[in-house]
Amino acid sequence: MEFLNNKDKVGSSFILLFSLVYLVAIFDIQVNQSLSYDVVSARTLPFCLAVIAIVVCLLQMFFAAKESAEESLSSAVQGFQWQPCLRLTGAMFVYGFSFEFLGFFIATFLFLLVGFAILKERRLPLAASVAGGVAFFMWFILTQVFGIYLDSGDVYRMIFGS
Amino acid sequence: MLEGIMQGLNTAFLPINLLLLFVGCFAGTFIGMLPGLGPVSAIALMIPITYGFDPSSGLILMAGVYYGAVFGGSTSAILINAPGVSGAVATAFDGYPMAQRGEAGRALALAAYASFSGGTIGAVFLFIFVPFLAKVSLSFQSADYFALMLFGLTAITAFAGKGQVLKAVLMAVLGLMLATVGEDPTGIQRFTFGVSDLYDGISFLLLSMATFAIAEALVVILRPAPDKSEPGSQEVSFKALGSMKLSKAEILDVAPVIGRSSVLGFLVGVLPGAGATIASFLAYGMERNLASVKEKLRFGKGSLRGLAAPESANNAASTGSFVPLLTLGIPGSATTAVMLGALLSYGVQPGPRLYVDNPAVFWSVIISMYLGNVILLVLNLPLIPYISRLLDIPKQFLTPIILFLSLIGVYLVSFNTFDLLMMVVIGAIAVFFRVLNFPLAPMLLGFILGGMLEENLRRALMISDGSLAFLWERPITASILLITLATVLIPQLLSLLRKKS
Repeated sequence: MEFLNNKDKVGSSFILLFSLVYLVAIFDIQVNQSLSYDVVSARTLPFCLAVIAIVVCLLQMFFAAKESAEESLSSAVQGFQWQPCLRLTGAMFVYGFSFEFLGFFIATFLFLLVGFAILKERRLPLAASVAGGVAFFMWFILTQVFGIYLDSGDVYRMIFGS
Repeated sequence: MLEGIMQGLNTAFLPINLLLLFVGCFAGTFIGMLPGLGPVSAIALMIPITYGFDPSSGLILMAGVYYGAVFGGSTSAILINAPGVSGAVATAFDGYPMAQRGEAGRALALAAYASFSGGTIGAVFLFIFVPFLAKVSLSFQSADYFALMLFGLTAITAFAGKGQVLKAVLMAVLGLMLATVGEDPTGIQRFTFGVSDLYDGISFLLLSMATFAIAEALVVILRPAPDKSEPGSQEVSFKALGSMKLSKAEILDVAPVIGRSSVLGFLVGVLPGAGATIASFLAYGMERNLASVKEKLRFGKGSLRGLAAPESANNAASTGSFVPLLTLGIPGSATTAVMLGALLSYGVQPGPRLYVDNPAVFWSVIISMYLGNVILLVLNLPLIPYISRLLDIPKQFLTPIILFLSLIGVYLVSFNTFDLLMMVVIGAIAVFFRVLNFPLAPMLLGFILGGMLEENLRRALMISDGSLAFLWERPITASILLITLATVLIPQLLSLLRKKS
């Protein structure tokens, strides 16, 4: 448990795990046979990087163990408001997934509205006006002023046709 | 050279470009004030907008946005003790106490004058050194570039704080690893796992917006808001900024501070990876050490010197960070990396050839960077009482809007929703690293330099037939590598000596 409560060790372990997966994935890289005389292949730099990362991770974990004044993870995250943070992350995910289906305007409006609600904005008319205003302003600036194409979405096409 | 300068002047002074510069400064100040949206995000948002512009106009707008965002970051640091950019953290040390005692106007004015002076000195140095360095760097070969990039990566780890060196190295290597995703220089796919959206690799813009803008906005929510009833936690009322006038004695007192800090800031800014944040802290520390015992006690409690030093240093460093970009084509900071992306999207390749092939673009960028400083001082400063009302927007509205702007900024470059999802994942991982106190800037620098480092290493190895002799055969390469070694070893040796004594 002490290991999991040390910020340096947790961070280094995460990168170590990543580096090991990275190292394994290096062997999936195709080596171009026609370039086999090459002194450098597509695997050369990744292999060096993986080795360096693993060595530095182990060093970092070793030195972290000796550091007595190291701040513990539990004290670093004390009082953190995880719930709104996770919900907003989820809302961003849904925004990304629904963007093509709902289109820029509806997806943005809903994302902002949900975002305001997650952060405890209870005045619905005000929240809806701000969300609608921002979505419309950005749509207008991007499409009408700068001529940038924004996808109107499958929903729009289903209702109004292409 | 004179002909190039004249071309640059003509381009920069075109009415449309002056207008763009003004709009850029204004928009940059606005965006820079928002917590989580610094110069990187501000410039990134401009990339899709400026696609249709000619390169000079696009870059002029971005130069304005850049300086505006740096200034905006300082404004929020002074008014609400929330630096909009990391380079403005040291500004808050003395700027916020000044604002608390009713001198917000004077603090903002001094910050603007110091920024302007820092920018001016930086621009003069840029004017002198860049053409000279561009000419020198024309003789650079792959081995020299490889050594330079290695220097850039070690510089950032050398500047890492106590107990952070290994973490900085790890993060830089992680950045290099992420840079290997996608096609390698010979066209072979690496780490794409059959996902076609990864064939072109991870976009720099996506990585920087996720690690800075998204992560910052999420961390703001994660950390509980300070108790407003505590003494000293009150925010400054924007209705009462107070006078913006500084006395002659005060100006004379801070003038040498501004001079010293600007020179230091520029030199630090030139180093790849060092940047405005380190420059501002170094300048603050230097002035504190140089101050008399009486003046030293004022630092942290609203000292004019304590405010002028980081402000002039961070602006001079911002200017200095353009040196490696314009002379070598190597971005030394996250902001200049976004600029590099913008330049490439206009079909302009920065580096020594830019000075020879595109003198109008080269000089108009340098000139407009200086004009950006002038506009900030003349037009933005009087508008600050109005612009600062933006900080009145409640957090529950501001944060989702910031997240939306960051997401849409990346989407507008690729028009690919996969990027939005990847951005959220990387943003969440960045929050994890921030909580663990692992620095993210080295990762970004590693990512920026990764592609170029591999390409130059490959070329150098092929030229030398696989032998590592290219590392010491050329005097330039050997000198840069020696400096790199010194950068790594000297701080460690000094710390060992200090421990022994």
